Amino acid sequence: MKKLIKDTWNLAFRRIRPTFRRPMTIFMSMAQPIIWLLLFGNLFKGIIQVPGFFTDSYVEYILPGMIVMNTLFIGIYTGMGTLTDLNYGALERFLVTPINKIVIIFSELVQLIVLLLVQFIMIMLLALTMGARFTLSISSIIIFLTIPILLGLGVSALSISLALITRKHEAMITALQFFTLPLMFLSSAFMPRNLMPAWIRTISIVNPIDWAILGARGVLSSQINWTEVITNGAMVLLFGVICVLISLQSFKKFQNSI
Amino acid sequence: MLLKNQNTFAIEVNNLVKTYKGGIKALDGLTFNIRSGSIYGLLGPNGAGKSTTVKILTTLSKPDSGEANVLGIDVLSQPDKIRRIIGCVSQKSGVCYDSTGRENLILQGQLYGMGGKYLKERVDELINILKLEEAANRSTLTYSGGMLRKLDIAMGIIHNPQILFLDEPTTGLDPEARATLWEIILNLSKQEQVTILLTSHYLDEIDRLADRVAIIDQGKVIIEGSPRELKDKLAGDVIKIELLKNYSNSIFHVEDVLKKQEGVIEVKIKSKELQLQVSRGASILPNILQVLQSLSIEVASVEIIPPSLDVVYLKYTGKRIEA
Ligand SMILES: Nc1ncnc2c1ncn2[C@@H]1O[C@H](COP(=O)(O)OP(=O)(O)OP(=O)(O)O)[C@@H](O)[C@H]1O
Ligand SMILES: [Mg+2]
Repeated sequence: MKKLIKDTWNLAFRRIRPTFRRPMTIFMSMAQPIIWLLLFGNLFKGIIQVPGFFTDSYVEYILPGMIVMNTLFIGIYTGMGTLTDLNYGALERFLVTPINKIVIIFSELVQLIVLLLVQFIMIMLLALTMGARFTLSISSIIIFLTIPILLGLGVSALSISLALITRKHEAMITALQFFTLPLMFLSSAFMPRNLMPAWIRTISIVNPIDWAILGARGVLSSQINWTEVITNGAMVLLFGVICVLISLQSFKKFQNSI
Repeated sequence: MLLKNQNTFAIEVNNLVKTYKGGIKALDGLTFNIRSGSIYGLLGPNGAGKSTTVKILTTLSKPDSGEANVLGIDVLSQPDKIRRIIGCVSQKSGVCYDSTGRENLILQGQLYGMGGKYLKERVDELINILKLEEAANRSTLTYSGGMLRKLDIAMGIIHNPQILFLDEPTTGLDPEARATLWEIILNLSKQEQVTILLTSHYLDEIDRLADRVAIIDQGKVIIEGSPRELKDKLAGDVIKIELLKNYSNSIFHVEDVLKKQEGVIEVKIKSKELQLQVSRGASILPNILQVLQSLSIEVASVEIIPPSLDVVYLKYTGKRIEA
Protein backbone atom coordinates (compact mmCIF):
# COMPACT_ATOMS: atom_id res chain seq x y z
CA MET A 1 0.00 0.00 0.00
CA LYS A 2 2.81 2.36 0.92
CA LYS A 3 4.59 1.49 -2.31
CA LEU A 4 1.36 2.04 -4.23
CA ILE A 5 1.04 5.58 -2.91
CA LYS A 6 4.73 6.31 -3.37
CA ASP A 7 4.74 5.05 -6.97
CA THR A 8 1.60 7.00 -7.77
CA TRP A 9 3.10 10.19 -6.40
CA ASN A 10 6.44 9.67 -8.14
CA LEU A 11 4.76 9.08 -11.48
CA ALA A 12 2.39 12.01 -10.97
CA PHE A 13 5.26 14.24 -9.98
CA ARG A 14 7.02 13.75 -13.30
CA ARG A 15 4.00 15.46 -14.91
CA ILE A 16 3.46 18.08 -12.22
CA ARG A 17 7.10 19.22 -12.33
CA PRO A 18 7.15 20.44 -15.94
CA THR A 19 3.78 22.14 -15.49
CA PHE A 20 5.04 24.19 -12.58
CA ARG A 21 8.31 24.83 -14.33
CA ARG A 22 6.29 26.77 -16.88
CA PRO A 23 3.56 28.43 -14.81
CA MET A 24 2.19 30.08 -17.93
CA THR A 25 0.69 26.75 -18.96
CA ILE A 26 -1.40 26.78 -15.79
CA PHE A 27 -2.88 30.14 -16.76
CA MET A 28 -3.22 29.36 -20.43
CA SER A 29 -5.09 26.14 -19.80
CA MET A 30 -7.69 27.95 -17.69
CA ALA A 31 -8.10 30.87 -20.07
CA GLN A 32 -11.42 29.66 -21.45
CA PRO A 33 -13.44 29.46 -18.23
CA ILE A 34 -11.95 32.74 -17.05
CA ILE A 35 -12.89 34.56 -20.24
CA TRP A 36 -16.37 33.12 -19.95
CA LEU A 37 -16.62 34.19 -16.38
CA LEU A 38 -15.59 37.75 -17.26
CA LEU A 39 -17.65 37.92 -20.42
CA PHE A 40 -20.85 36.25 -19.33
CA GLY A 41 -20.59 37.60 -15.85
CA ASN A 42 -20.69 41.14 -17.18
CA LEU A 43 -22.74 40.66 -20.33
CA PHE A 44 -25.67 39.04 -18.57
CA LYS A 45 -25.45 41.00 -15.35
CA GLY A 46 -29.09 42.01 -15.70
CA ILE A 47 -30.38 38.51 -16.36
CA ILE A 48 -30.95 37.89 -12.68
CA GLN A 49 -33.95 40.25 -12.85
CA VAL A 50 -35.76 37.45 -14.67
CA PRO A 51 -38.10 35.76 -12.23
CA GLY A 52 -36.82 32.27 -11.46
CA PHE A 53 -33.21 33.32 -10.73
CA PHE A 54 -32.77 33.02 -7.02
CA THR A 55 -29.51 34.92 -6.74
CA ASP A 56 -28.34 38.47 -6.50
CA SER A 57 -25.18 38.13 -8.60
CA TYR A 58 -24.86 36.39 -11.98
CA VAL A 59 -21.14 35.88 -11.42
CA GLU A 60 -22.07 33.93 -8.34
CA TYR A 61 -24.56 31.94 -10.38
CA ILE A 62 -22.20 30.90 -13.17
CA LEU A 63 -19.17 30.35 -10.95
CA PRO A 64 -19.89 26.65 -10.27
CA GLY A 65 -20.46 26.11 -13.98
CA MET A 66 -17.15 27.75 -14.83
CA ILE A 67 -15.33 25.66 -12.26
CA VAL A 68 -16.87 22.54 -13.76
CA MET A 69 -16.03 23.78 -17.25
CA ASN A 70 -12.43 24.19 -16.19
CA THR A 71 -12.21 20.61 -14.94
CA LEU A 72 -13.76 19.42 -18.19
CA PHE A 73 -11.45 21.35 -20.46
CA ILE A 74 -8.40 20.22 -18.50
CA GLY A 75 -9.67 16.68 -17.98
CA ILE A 76 -10.22 15.86 -21.62
CA TYR A 77 -6.54 16.46 -22.33
CA THR A 78 -5.30 13.91 -19.81
CA GLY A 79 -5.16 11.24 -22.48
CA MET A 80 -2.57 13.29 -24.36
CA GLY A 81 0.03 12.45 -21.77
CA THR A 82 -0.90 8.78 -21.89
CA LEU A 83 -0.64 8.86 -25.65
CA THR A 84 2.82 10.43 -25.55
CA ASP A 85 3.95 7.73 -23.13
CA LEU A 86 2.45 5.10 -25.38
CA ASN A 87 4.04 6.40 -28.56
CA TYR A 88 7.45 6.98 -27.05
CA GLY A 89 7.55 3.60 -25.31
CA ALA A 90 7.51 4.92 -21.74
CA LEU A 91 4.25 3.11 -21.04
CA GLU A 92 5.82 -0.23 -21.92
CA ARG A 93 8.82 0.59 -19.79
CA PHE A 94 6.59 1.25 -16.78
CA LEU A 95 4.76 -2.02 -17.39
CA VAL A 96 8.03 -3.94 -17.07
CA THR A 97 8.84 -2.36 -13.70
CA PRO A 98 7.42 -3.82 -10.48
CA ILE A 99 4.59 -1.32 -10.06
CA ASN A 100 0.89 -2.00 -9.99
CA LYS A 101 -0.55 -0.97 -13.33
CA ILE A 102 -3.36 0.91 -11.57
CA VAL A 103 -0.64 3.33 -10.50
CA ILE A 104 -0.18 4.44 -14.10
CA ILE A 105 -3.80 5.60 -14.35
CA PHE A 106 -4.03 6.91 -10.79
CA SER A 107 -0.93 9.03 -11.27
CA GLU A 108 -2.58 10.83 -14.15
CA LEU A 109 -5.58 11.54 -11.94
CA VAL A 110 -3.43 12.78 -9.07
CA GLN A 111 -1.57 15.24 -11.26
CA LEU A 112 -4.96 16.46 -12.52
CA ILE A 113 -6.17 17.05 -8.97
CA VAL A 114 -3.08 19.08 -8.11
CA LEU A 115 -3.46 21.25 -11.19
CA LEU A 116 -7.19 21.74 -10.65
CA LEU A 117 -6.79 22.76 -7.03
CA VAL A 118 -4.35 25.48 -8.00
CA GLN A 119 -6.67 26.71 -10.70
CA PHE A 120 -9.73 26.63 -8.43
CA ILE A 121 -8.05 28.96 -6.02
CA MET A 122 -7.32 31.38 -8.83
CA ILE A 123 -10.83 31.24 -10.20
CA MET A 124 -12.33 31.79 -6.76
CA LEU A 125 -10.11 34.80 -6.19
CA LEU A 126 -11.17 36.21 -9.54
CA ALA A 127 -14.84 35.70 -8.72
CA LEU A 128 -14.39 37.45 -5.39
CA THR A 129 -12.82 40.46 -7.07
CA MET A 130 -15.80 40.50 -9.44
CA GLY A 131 -18.17 40.89 -6.55
CA ALA A 132 -19.29 37.37 -5.73
CA ARG A 133 -19.73 36.86 -1.99
CA PHE A 134 -20.11 33.59 -0.15
CA THR A 135 -20.10 32.48 3.41
CA LEU A 136 -18.52 29.05 3.31
CA SER A 137 -17.57 26.66 6.03
CA ILE A 138 -14.55 24.43 5.61
CA SER A 139 -16.71 21.41 4.91
CA SER A 140 -18.70 23.20 2.22
CA ILE A 141 -15.49 24.39 0.54
CA ILE A 142 -14.26 20.82 0.46
CA ILE A 143 -17.52 19.60 -1.04
CA PHE A 144 -17.56 22.53 -3.47
CA LEU A 145 -14.15 21.47 -4.78
CA THR A 146 -14.59 17.72 -4.54
CA ILE A 147 -17.65 17.39 -6.72
CA PRO A 148 -16.16 19.07 -9.82
CA ILE A 149 -12.92 17.16 -9.26
CA LEU A 150 -14.81 13.88 -9.24
CA LEU A 151 -16.34 14.83 -12.55
CA GLY A 152 -12.88 15.78 -13.85
CA LEU A 153 -11.51 12.42 -12.79
CA GLY A 154 -14.29 10.67 -14.70
CA VAL A 155 -13.69 12.74 -17.80
CA SER A 156 -9.95 12.25 -17.70
CA ALA A 157 -10.38 8.52 -17.23
CA LEU A 158 -12.53 8.56 -20.37
CA SER A 159 -9.84 10.57 -22.11
CA ILE A 160 -7.22 8.00 -21.14
CA SER A 161 -9.48 5.21 -22.41
CA LEU A 162 -9.96 6.98 -25.72
CA ALA A 163 -6.22 7.53 -26.01
CA LEU A 164 -5.52 3.85 -25.43
CA ILE A 165 -8.18 2.75 -27.89
CA THR A 166 -7.84 5.27 -30.73
CA ARG A 167 -4.09 5.90 -30.30
CA LYS A 168 -4.47 9.16 -32.16
CA HIS A 169 -4.38 12.67 -30.75
CA GLU A 170 -6.80 14.17 -33.23
CA ALA A 171 -9.38 11.42 -32.97
CA MET A 172 -9.31 11.55 -29.21
CA ILE A 173 -9.51 15.32 -28.77
CA THR A 174 -12.09 15.80 -31.50
CA ALA A 175 -14.34 13.19 -29.96
CA LEU A 176 -14.16 14.79 -26.53
CA GLN A 177 -14.45 18.39 -27.68
CA PHE A 178 -17.48 17.41 -29.69
CA PHE A 179 -19.31 16.68 -26.47
CA THR A 180 -18.00 19.12 -23.91
CA LEU A 181 -19.27 22.47 -25.13
CA PRO A 182 -22.78 21.32 -26.12
CA LEU A 183 -23.09 19.49 -22.82
CA MET A 184 -22.15 22.68 -21.00
CA PHE A 185 -25.11 24.43 -22.63
CA LEU A 186 -27.34 21.46 -21.94
CA SER A 187 -26.81 22.06 -18.25
CA SER A 188 -27.82 24.66 -15.72
CA ALA A 189 -24.42 26.37 -16.01
CA PHE A 190 -25.90 29.54 -17.48
CA MET A 191 -29.61 29.18 -16.85
CA PRO A 192 -31.48 27.41 -14.06
CA ARG A 193 -33.44 24.30 -14.98
CA ASN A 194 -36.81 25.94 -14.34
CA LEU A 195 -36.12 28.48 -17.08
CA MET A 196 -34.97 25.92 -19.70
CA PRO A 197 -37.04 24.63 -22.60
CA ALA A 198 -38.50 21.28 -21.65
CA TRP A 199 -36.26 19.16 -23.91
CA ILE A 200 -33.08 20.73 -22.62
CA ARG A 201 -34.28 20.20 -19.06
CA THR A 202 -34.79 16.52 -19.84
CA ILE A 203 -31.25 16.20 -21.18
CA SER A 204 -29.78 18.14 -18.28
CA ILE A 205 -31.30 15.65 -15.87
CA VAL A 206 -29.14 12.86 -17.30
CA ASN A 207 -26.12 15.08 -17.92
CA PRO A 208 -23.29 14.31 -15.46
CA ILE A 209 -21.98 17.83 -16.01
CA ASP A 210 -25.21 19.22 -14.60
CA TRP A 211 -25.05 16.89 -11.59
CA ALA A 212 -21.67 18.35 -10.77
CA ILE A 213 -22.87 21.94 -11.28
CA LEU A 214 -25.98 21.47 -9.15
CA GLY A 215 -24.00 19.74 -6.44
CA ALA A 216 -21.38 22.48 -6.34
CA ARG A 217 -23.89 25.31 -6.54
CA GLY A 218 -25.91 23.69 -3.79
CA VAL A 219 -23.22 24.28 -1.16
CA LEU A 220 -22.86 27.94 -2.19
CA SER A 221 -26.40 28.94 -1.29
CA SER A 222 -27.18 30.43 2.08
CA GLN A 223 -29.59 27.65 3.03
CA ILE A 224 -27.94 24.48 1.83
CA ASN A 225 -30.31 21.84 0.52
CA TRP A 226 -28.28 18.84 1.64
CA THR A 227 -30.47 16.26 -0.09
CA GLU A 228 -29.79 17.93 -3.41
CA VAL A 229 -26.07 18.28 -2.76
CA ILE A 230 -25.69 14.69 -1.63
CA THR A 231 -27.75 13.10 -4.40
CA ASN A 232 -25.93 15.05 -7.08
CA GLY A 233 -22.58 14.45 -5.44
CA ALA A 234 -23.28 10.73 -5.23
CA MET A 235 -24.27 10.56 -8.88
CA VAL A 236 -21.05 12.33 -9.91
CA LEU A 237 -19.09 9.92 -7.74
CA LEU A 238 -20.81 7.00 -9.43
CA PHE A 239 -20.01 8.52 -12.82
CA GLY A 240 -16.36 8.91 -11.82
CA VAL A 241 -16.08 5.34 -10.57
CA ILE A 242 -17.64 3.92 -13.72
CA CYS A 243 -15.28 5.93 -15.91
CA VAL A 244 -12.24 4.75 -13.94
CA LEU A 245 -13.43 1.16 -14.31
CA ILE A 246 -13.78 1.73 -18.05
CA SER A 247 -10.25 3.07 -18.21
CA LEU A 248 -8.90 0.03 -16.37
CA GLN A 249 -10.69 -2.14 -18.89
CA SER A 250 -9.19 -0.17 -21.79
CA PHE A 251 -5.81 -0.58 -20.20
CA LYS A 252 -6.26 -4.33 -20.15
CA LYS A 253 -7.23 -4.21 -23.79
CA PHE A 254 -4.16 -2.18 -24.59
CA GLN A 255 -1.96 -4.69 -22.77
CA ASN A 256 -3.42 -7.50 -24.80
CA SER A 257 -2.46 -5.69 -27.99
CA ILE A 258 1.23 -5.36 -27.12
CA MET B 1 22.79 -19.48 -4.76
CA LEU B 2 21.67 -22.55 -6.59
CA LEU B 3 20.55 -20.57 -9.59
CA LYS B 4 24.06 -19.31 -10.25
CA ASN B 5 25.19 -22.85 -11.00
CA GLN B 6 26.77 -22.97 -14.43
CA ASN B 7 24.67 -25.92 -15.45
CA THR B 8 21.26 -24.58 -14.67
CA PHE B 9 19.23 -22.56 -17.08
CA ALA B 10 18.28 -19.03 -16.11
CA ILE B 11 15.74 -18.79 -18.89
CA GLU B 12 13.75 -21.63 -20.38
CA VAL B 13 11.50 -21.09 -23.36
CA ASN B 14 9.42 -23.98 -24.55
CA ASN B 15 7.29 -24.09 -27.65
CA LEU B 16 6.01 -20.52 -27.52
CA VAL B 17 3.30 -19.54 -29.97
CA LYS B 18 2.06 -15.98 -30.30
CA THR B 19 -0.49 -14.75 -32.82
CA TYR B 20 -1.27 -11.07 -33.15
CA LYS B 21 -4.53 -9.59 -34.29
CA GLY B 22 -4.98 -10.13 -38.00
CA GLY B 23 -3.53 -13.61 -37.80
CA ILE B 24 0.14 -12.60 -37.81
CA LYS B 25 2.05 -15.50 -36.32
CA ALA B 26 4.94 -13.80 -34.56
CA LEU B 27 6.12 -16.93 -32.75
CA ASP B 28 5.55 -20.41 -34.02
CA GLY B 29 6.90 -22.95 -31.56
CA LEU B 30 9.95 -21.13 -30.29
CA THR B 31 12.21 -23.13 -27.98
CA PHE B 32 15.58 -22.33 -26.40
CA ASN B 33 17.35 -22.29 -23.05
CA ILE B 34 19.83 -19.82 -21.64
CA ARG B 35 22.49 -20.84 -19.17
CA SER B 36 22.78 -18.84 -16.01
CA GLY B 37 25.36 -16.08 -16.33
CA SER B 38 25.76 -16.36 -20.07
CA ILE B 39 25.05 -14.02 -22.94
CA TYR B 40 22.58 -15.37 -25.43
CA GLY B 41 22.24 -13.77 -28.85
CA LEU B 42 19.09 -13.73 -30.92
CA LEU B 43 19.60 -13.09 -34.60
CA GLY B 44 17.01 -12.94 -37.32
CA PRO B 45 15.56 -10.77 -40.07
CA ASN B 46 12.97 -8.04 -39.43
CA GLY B 47 9.76 -9.52 -38.16
CA ALA B 48 11.39 -12.81 -37.13
CA GLY B 49 9.92 -12.55 -33.65
CA LYS B 50 12.88 -11.33 -31.58
CA SER B 51 11.08 -8.44 -29.90
CA THR B 52 7.99 -10.57 -29.40
CA THR B 53 10.15 -13.06 -27.51
CA VAL B 54 11.56 -10.29 -25.35
CA LYS B 55 8.07 -8.92 -24.67
CA ILE B 56 6.82 -12.29 -23.51
CA LEU B 57 9.83 -12.93 -21.29
CA THR B 58 9.51 -9.47 -19.72
CA THR B 59 5.79 -10.08 -18.99
CA LEU B 60 4.62 -7.40 -21.41
CA SER B 61 2.66 -9.74 -23.60
CA LYS B 62 1.16 -13.15 -23.21
CA PRO B 63 1.76 -16.12 -25.51
CA ASP B 64 -1.13 -18.12 -26.97
CA SER B 65 0.52 -21.32 -25.82
CA GLY B 66 3.81 -22.72 -24.63
CA GLU B 67 5.80 -22.00 -21.50
CA ALA B 68 8.54 -19.70 -20.42
CA ASN B 69 10.25 -19.24 -17.11
CA VAL B 70 12.93 -16.98 -15.75
CA LEU B 71 14.98 -18.32 -12.84
CA GLY B 72 12.36 -21.01 -12.56
CA ILE B 73 9.53 -18.50 -12.18
CA ASP B 74 6.68 -18.92 -14.61
CA VAL B 75 6.20 -15.84 -16.79
CA LEU B 76 2.45 -16.28 -17.02
CA SER B 77 1.49 -17.10 -13.46
CA GLN B 78 3.93 -14.89 -11.53
CA PRO B 79 4.68 -11.82 -13.62
CA ASP B 80 5.11 -9.60 -10.54
CA LYS B 81 7.93 -11.73 -9.23
CA ILE B 82 9.66 -11.67 -12.60
CA ARG B 83 9.48 -7.89 -12.90
CA ARG B 84 11.48 -7.55 -9.71
CA ILE B 85 14.46 -9.54 -11.00
CA ILE B 86 14.71 -8.45 -14.61
CA GLY B 87 15.89 -5.36 -16.41
CA CYS B 88 14.93 -4.49 -19.94
CA VAL B 89 16.13 -2.18 -22.67
CA SER B 90 13.47 -2.51 -25.31
CA GLN B 91 13.87 -1.79 -28.98
CA LYS B 92 11.68 1.28 -28.66
CA SER B 93 13.06 4.02 -26.46
CA GLY B 94 11.22 4.43 -23.18
CA VAL B 95 12.30 7.90 -22.19
CA CYS B 96 9.89 10.39 -20.64
CA TYR B 97 10.03 13.70 -22.41
CA ASP B 98 9.58 16.89 -20.42
CA SER B 99 12.06 15.52 -17.91
CA THR B 100 15.83 15.62 -17.80
CA GLY B 101 18.00 12.54 -18.15
CA ARG B 102 18.75 12.56 -14.46
CA GLU B 103 15.07 12.86 -13.55
CA ASN B 104 14.30 9.91 -15.81
CA LEU B 105 16.93 7.82 -14.06
CA ILE B 106 15.76 8.79 -10.60
CA LEU B 107 12.15 7.94 -11.41
CA GLN B 108 13.20 4.59 -12.84
CA GLY B 109 15.18 3.82 -9.68
CA GLN B 110 12.25 4.82 -7.49
CA LEU B 111 9.92 2.49 -9.35
CA TYR B 112 12.31 -0.31 -8.40
CA GLY B 113 12.12 0.76 -4.77
CA MET B 114 15.49 2.52 -4.70
CA GLY B 115 15.93 5.84 -2.99
CA GLY B 116 18.04 8.22 -0.99
CA LYS B 117 21.78 8.53 -1.25
CA TYR B 118 22.17 5.08 -2.75
CA LEU B 119 20.01 5.98 -5.72
CA LYS B 120 21.75 9.32 -6.18
CA GLU B 121 25.14 7.65 -6.28
CA ARG B 122 23.97 4.97 -8.68
CA VAL B 123 22.53 7.62 -11.01
CA ASP B 124 25.80 9.56 -10.96
CA GLU B 125 27.73 6.38 -11.62
CA LEU B 126 25.62 5.50 -14.66
CA ILE B 127 25.76 9.02 -16.04
CA ASN B 128 29.49 8.78 -15.70
CA ILE B 129 29.88 5.34 -17.28
CA LEU B 130 27.70 6.22 -20.24
CA LYS B 131 29.32 9.63 -20.62
CA LEU B 132 26.08 11.55 -20.29
CA GLU B 133 27.48 14.16 -17.87
CA GLU B 134 27.03 17.04 -20.22
CA ALA B 135 23.44 16.13 -21.07
CA ALA B 136 22.21 14.77 -17.76
CA ASN B 137 20.51 17.95 -16.57
CA ARG B 138 18.97 18.87 -19.88
CA SER B 139 15.47 17.99 -21.03
CA THR B 140 15.55 14.76 -23.01
CA LEU B 141 13.73 16.63 -25.77
CA THR B 142 17.14 18.01 -26.69
CA TYR B 143 18.86 14.60 -26.83
CA SER B 144 20.29 13.02 -29.95
CA GLY B 145 19.22 9.50 -30.88
CA GLY B 146 22.37 8.00 -29.45
CA MET B 147 22.02 9.92 -26.18
CA LEU B 148 18.46 8.64 -25.78
CA ARG B 149 19.71 5.12 -26.35
CA LYS B 150 22.38 5.53 -23.70
CA LEU B 151 19.73 6.77 -21.29
CA ASP B 152 17.57 3.74 -22.12
CA ILE B 153 20.48 1.47 -21.31
CA ALA B 154 21.20 3.25 -18.04
CA MET B 155 17.54 2.91 -17.05
CA GLY B 156 17.57 -0.77 -17.93
CA ILE B 157 20.44 -1.60 -15.57
CA ILE B 158 19.97 0.95 -12.80
CA HIS B 159 18.63 -1.60 -10.32
CA ASN B 160 21.37 -4.20 -10.96
CA PRO B 161 19.04 -6.86 -12.36
CA GLN B 162 19.99 -10.52 -12.32
CA ILE B 163 18.55 -11.02 -15.77
CA LEU B 164 18.88 -8.45 -18.50
CA PHE B 165 17.05 -8.18 -21.81
CA LEU B 166 18.66 -6.02 -24.46
CA ASP B 167 16.64 -5.57 -27.64
CA GLU B 168 18.95 -3.99 -30.21
CA PRO B 169 20.67 -1.89 -27.57
CA THR B 170 23.41 -0.46 -29.78
CA THR B 171 21.28 0.68 -32.70
CA GLY B 172 22.12 4.32 -33.32
CA LEU B 173 25.26 4.40 -31.17
CA ASP B 174 28.58 5.72 -32.44
CA PRO B 175 31.54 3.30 -32.46
CA GLU B 176 32.91 4.64 -29.19
CA ALA B 177 29.61 4.32 -27.38
CA ARG B 178 29.16 0.87 -28.83
CA ALA B 179 32.55 -0.20 -27.53
CA THR B 180 31.63 1.18 -24.11
CA LEU B 181 28.41 -0.76 -24.12
CA TRP B 182 30.17 -3.95 -25.16
CA GLU B 183 32.46 -3.50 -22.20
CA ILE B 184 29.50 -2.96 -19.88
CA ILE B 185 27.74 -6.05 -21.20
CA LEU B 186 30.81 -8.27 -20.92
CA ASN B 187 31.49 -6.96 -17.46
CA LEU B 188 27.94 -7.64 -16.28
CA SER B 189 28.14 -11.17 -17.60
CA LYS B 190 31.64 -12.09 -16.53
CA GLN B 191 32.01 -10.20 -13.23
CA GLU B 192 28.46 -10.12 -11.95
CA GLN B 193 27.08 -13.29 -13.54
CA VAL B 194 24.13 -11.46 -15.01
CA THR B 195 22.27 -13.54 -17.58
CA ILE B 196 21.75 -11.54 -20.74
CA LEU B 197 19.48 -12.01 -23.72
CA LEU B 198 20.74 -9.81 -26.53
CA THR B 199 19.20 -9.19 -29.92
CA SER B 200 21.07 -7.37 -32.62
CA HIS B 201 21.39 -6.91 -36.33
CA TYR B 202 25.12 -6.44 -35.97
CA LEU B 203 26.69 -9.82 -36.46
CA ASP B 204 30.07 -8.71 -35.21
CA GLU B 205 28.40 -7.68 -31.98
CA ILE B 206 26.81 -11.09 -31.45
CA ASP B 207 30.02 -12.82 -32.51
CA ARG B 208 32.00 -10.81 -30.01
CA LEU B 209 29.59 -10.95 -27.06
CA ALA B 210 27.35 -13.99 -27.23
CA ASP B 211 28.23 -17.31 -25.67
CA ARG B 212 25.46 -18.90 -27.67
CA VAL B 213 23.36 -17.73 -30.58
CA ALA B 214 20.02 -18.69 -32.02
CA ILE B 215 19.10 -17.63 -35.51
CA ILE B 216 15.36 -17.33 -35.70
CA ASP B 217 13.07 -16.78 -38.64
CA GLN B 218 9.30 -16.72 -38.79
CA GLY B 219 9.01 -17.37 -35.11
CA LYS B 220 11.14 -20.51 -35.01
CA VAL B 221 14.74 -21.28 -34.10
CA ILE B 222 16.48 -22.37 -37.29
CA ILE B 223 19.84 -23.12 -35.78
CA GLU B 224 21.44 -22.72 -32.40
CA GLY B 225 24.95 -23.00 -31.02
CA SER B 226 28.00 -21.03 -30.01
CA PRO B 227 29.21 -18.60 -32.67
CA ARG B 228 32.27 -20.88 -33.13
CA GLU B 229 30.11 -23.97 -33.68
CA LEU B 230 27.91 -22.22 -36.19
CA LYS B 231 30.89 -20.99 -38.15
CA ASP B 232 32.55 -24.40 -38.08
CA LYS B 233 29.47 -25.93 -39.59
CA LEU B 234 30.21 -23.90 -42.67
CA ALA B 235 32.98 -25.14 -44.85
CA GLY B 236 36.20 -23.56 -43.60
CA ASP B 237 38.01 -20.35 -44.40
CA VAL B 238 38.54 -18.07 -47.32
CA ILE B 239 42.08 -17.41 -48.63
CA LYS B 240 42.43 -14.11 -50.41
CA ILE B 241 45.54 -13.73 -52.58
CA GLU B 242 46.51 -10.50 -54.25
CA LEU B 243 48.73 -10.88 -57.31
CA LEU B 244 51.48 -8.52 -58.43
CA LYS B 245 50.31 -8.32 -62.02
CA ASN B 246 47.35 -9.14 -64.14
CA TYR B 247 47.89 -12.65 -65.49
CA SER B 248 44.97 -12.57 -67.86
CA ASN B 249 46.45 -15.11 -70.34
CA SER B 250 47.34 -17.95 -68.04
CA ILE B 251 44.67 -17.36 -65.46
CA PHE B 252 42.24 -20.07 -66.55
CA HIS B 253 44.99 -22.60 -66.37
CA VAL B 254 45.76 -21.42 -62.83
CA GLU B 255 42.15 -21.85 -61.83
CA ASP B 256 42.14 -25.43 -63.05
CA VAL B 257 45.32 -26.33 -61.24
CA LEU B 258 44.23 -24.77 -57.98
CA LYS B 259 40.87 -26.50 -58.03
CA LYS B 260 42.65 -29.85 -58.13
CA GLN B 261 44.58 -29.19 -54.90
CA GLU B 262 43.43 -31.01 -51.81
CA GLY B 263 41.18 -29.01 -49.47
CA VAL B 264 40.20 -26.43 -52.06
CA ILE B 265 36.46 -26.20 -52.49
CA GLU B 266 35.98 -23.24 -54.74
CA VAL B 267 38.14 -20.77 -56.68
CA LYS B 268 37.12 -17.29 -57.75
CA ILE B 269 39.32 -15.01 -59.84
CA LYS B 270 38.87 -11.30 -60.29
CA SER B 271 41.64 -9.61 -62.31
CA LYS B 272 44.46 -9.38 -59.76
CA GLU B 273 42.69 -11.18 -56.96
CA LEU B 274 42.27 -14.89 -56.20
CA GLN B 275 39.68 -16.03 -53.72
CA LEU B 276 39.77 -19.63 -52.52
CA GLN B 277 37.20 -21.33 -50.34
CA VAL B 278 39.17 -23.94 -48.42
CA SER B 279 38.61 -26.33 -45.56
CA ARG B 280 41.45 -25.23 -43.29
CA GLY B 281 43.27 -22.12 -44.44
CA ALA B 282 46.40 -22.30 -42.34
CA SER B 283 47.44 -25.81 -43.35
CA ILE B 284 46.58 -25.47 -47.03
CA LEU B 285 48.20 -22.13 -47.67
CA PRO B 286 51.86 -23.33 -48.03
CA ASN B 287 50.90 -25.77 -50.74
CA ILE B 288 48.90 -23.15 -52.62
CA LEU B 289 51.81 -20.72 -52.56
CA GLN B 290 54.12 -23.41 -53.86
CA VAL B 291 51.79 -24.17 -56.74
CA LEU B 292 51.60 -20.50 -57.66
CA GLN B 293 55.37 -20.23 -57.60
CA SER B 294 55.76 -23.22 -59.88
CA LEU B 295 53.43 -21.47 -62.33
CA SER B 296 55.65 -18.37 -61.96
CA ILE B 297 52.83 -16.26 -60.65
CA GLU B 298 54.04 -13.62 -58.23
CA VAL B 299 52.06 -12.97 -55.08
CA ALA B 300 51.74 -9.52 -53.52
CA SER B 301 49.83 -10.37 -50.35
CA VAL B 302 47.90 -13.18 -48.69
CA GLU B 303 45.06 -13.12 -46.22
CA ILE B 304 43.18 -15.91 -44.46
CA ILE B 305 39.63 -14.91 -43.60
CA PRO B 306 37.98 -17.11 -40.99
CA PRO B 307 34.29 -17.79 -41.49
CA SER B 308 32.05 -15.02 -40.20
CA LEU B 309 28.59 -15.04 -38.76
CA ASP B 310 27.53 -13.04 -41.81
CA VAL B 311 28.04 -16.12 -43.92
CA VAL B 312 26.24 -18.28 -41.40
CA TYR B 313 23.35 -15.85 -41.23
CA LEU B 314 23.11 -15.65 -44.98
CA LYS B 315 23.12 -19.38 -45.32
CA TYR B 316 20.33 -20.01 -42.82
CA THR B 317 17.99 -17.13 -43.47
CA GLY B 318 18.69 -16.60 -47.13
CA LYS B 319 18.84 -12.90 -46.37
CA ARG B 320 21.73 -10.52 -46.11
CA ILE B 321 21.93 -8.28 -43.12
CA GLU B 322 22.22 -4.63 -43.92
CA ALA B 323 24.18 -2.88 -41.24
N1 LIG C 1 1.76 -5.21 -31.24
C1 LIG C 1 1.71 -5.90 -32.41
N2 LIG C 1 0.54 -6.00 -33.08
C2 LIG C 1 0.47 -6.70 -34.22
N3 LIG C 1 1.51 -7.33 -34.80
C3 LIG C 1 2.70 -7.26 -34.19
C4 LIG C 1 2.87 -6.53 -32.97
N4 LIG C 1 4.15 -6.65 -32.60
C5 LIG C 1 4.77 -7.39 -33.54
N5 LIG C 1 3.91 -7.77 -34.50
C6 LIG C 1 4.20 -8.64 -35.66
O1 LIG C 1 4.84 -9.81 -35.21
C7 LIG C 1 5.92 -10.18 -36.05
C8 LIG C 1 7.19 -10.27 -35.25
O2 LIG C 1 7.56 -8.98 -34.81
P1 LIG C 1 8.82 -8.69 -33.89
O3 LIG C 1 8.70 -7.27 -33.46
O4 LIG C 1 8.91 -9.72 -32.83
O5 LIG C 1 10.03 -8.85 -34.91
P2 LIG C 1 11.59 -8.62 -34.68
O6 LIG C 1 12.25 -9.91 -34.90
O7 LIG C 1 11.81 -7.95 -33.40
O8 LIG C 1 11.91 -7.63 -35.89
P3 LIG C 1 12.93 -6.39 -35.97
O9 LIG C 1 14.25 -6.92 -36.32
O10 LIG C 1 12.37 -5.58 -37.08
O11 LIG C 1 12.88 -5.67 -34.68
C9 LIG C 1 5.95 -9.13 -37.16
O12 LIG C 1 5.28 -9.66 -38.27
C10 LIG C 1 5.19 -7.97 -36.59
O13 LIG C 1 4.53 -7.28 -37.61
MG1 LIG D 1 12.52 -6.17 -32.83
